[in-house]
Amino acid sequence: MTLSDRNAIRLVKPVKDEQPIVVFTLKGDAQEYRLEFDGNMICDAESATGCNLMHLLAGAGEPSFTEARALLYALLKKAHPLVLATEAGALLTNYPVVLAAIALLMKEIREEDDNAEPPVAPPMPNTSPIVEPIPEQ
Amino acid sequence: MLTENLSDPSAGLLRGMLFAALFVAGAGCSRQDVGRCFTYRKLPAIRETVTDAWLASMSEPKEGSAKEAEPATKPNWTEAWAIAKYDMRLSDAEWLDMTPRQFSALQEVRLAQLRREELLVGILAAQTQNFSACHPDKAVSAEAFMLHKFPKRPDEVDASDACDEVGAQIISQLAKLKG
Repeated sequence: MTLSDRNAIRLVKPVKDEQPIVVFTLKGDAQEYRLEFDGNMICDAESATGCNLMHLLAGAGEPSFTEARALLYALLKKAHPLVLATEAGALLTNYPVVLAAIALLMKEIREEDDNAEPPVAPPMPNTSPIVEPIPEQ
Repeated sequence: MLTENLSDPSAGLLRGMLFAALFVAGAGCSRQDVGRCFTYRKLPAIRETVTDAWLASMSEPKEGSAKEAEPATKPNWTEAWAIAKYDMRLSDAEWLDMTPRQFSALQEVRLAQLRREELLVGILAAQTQNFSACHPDKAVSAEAFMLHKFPKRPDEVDASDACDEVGAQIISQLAKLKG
């Protein structure tokens, strides 16, 4: 396994019905990190870190380091199920690269959602009573 | 999760609430299935819908001033269960199937029934006291015997205050005549 000689961020364009993935490598680290958005991982990361990520996802203000770590942990968890929150925190040492990777993924997800076809609600069962006209006398 | 702030719900809380609502409605999906629907763009809409549904299931704020309408201490889960079990004669399943709004509506009906019974007994007690050998100087109203008083209407004036005011005016007029 060779150590990466530079920081790199790469976007993996999704095929149909797949989420975009951002892959980044850090200088001097052999590991390739994959970021992917998953609602379940966001929820699990909130439980694990005790951090409410809804503010961050709503784009309200600058993220704190705690929030950035929780979000990074959530985005890593799908591709790296054994990752720990502390390991995600350690990656933030190189935060300009990591935050750029997160920003790229978020931008891509936003555009992906914009282009997605609106979901069609299934027809509801007809629960209204049948009203028959009263014959005139 | 139960101790979380509903005015500022986390994604985990929203997933839990949405799953619970769908489960009760008969949807055969898992918590993970619900979480998979949480895309970046759908999150605000999910938050709004779940919060709206939660508010719609709550009882409406009572009329009148907040101090008068709200009970001194709100019942906790155990006390609410006890009220449902003992006062309402509900089974555990019936109680858990209810929204707080439905439970509150039942409580209102029960309170109205209690007031009616207390008023009927109060009328009897007031008549007995007012026409007894040792009747009070000032007639006692039936409401005085009620444990659950009728709520005051906003335009209602306290009768005793009004009487005192009229009395004071009469006395002042009499004093002028004497003078």
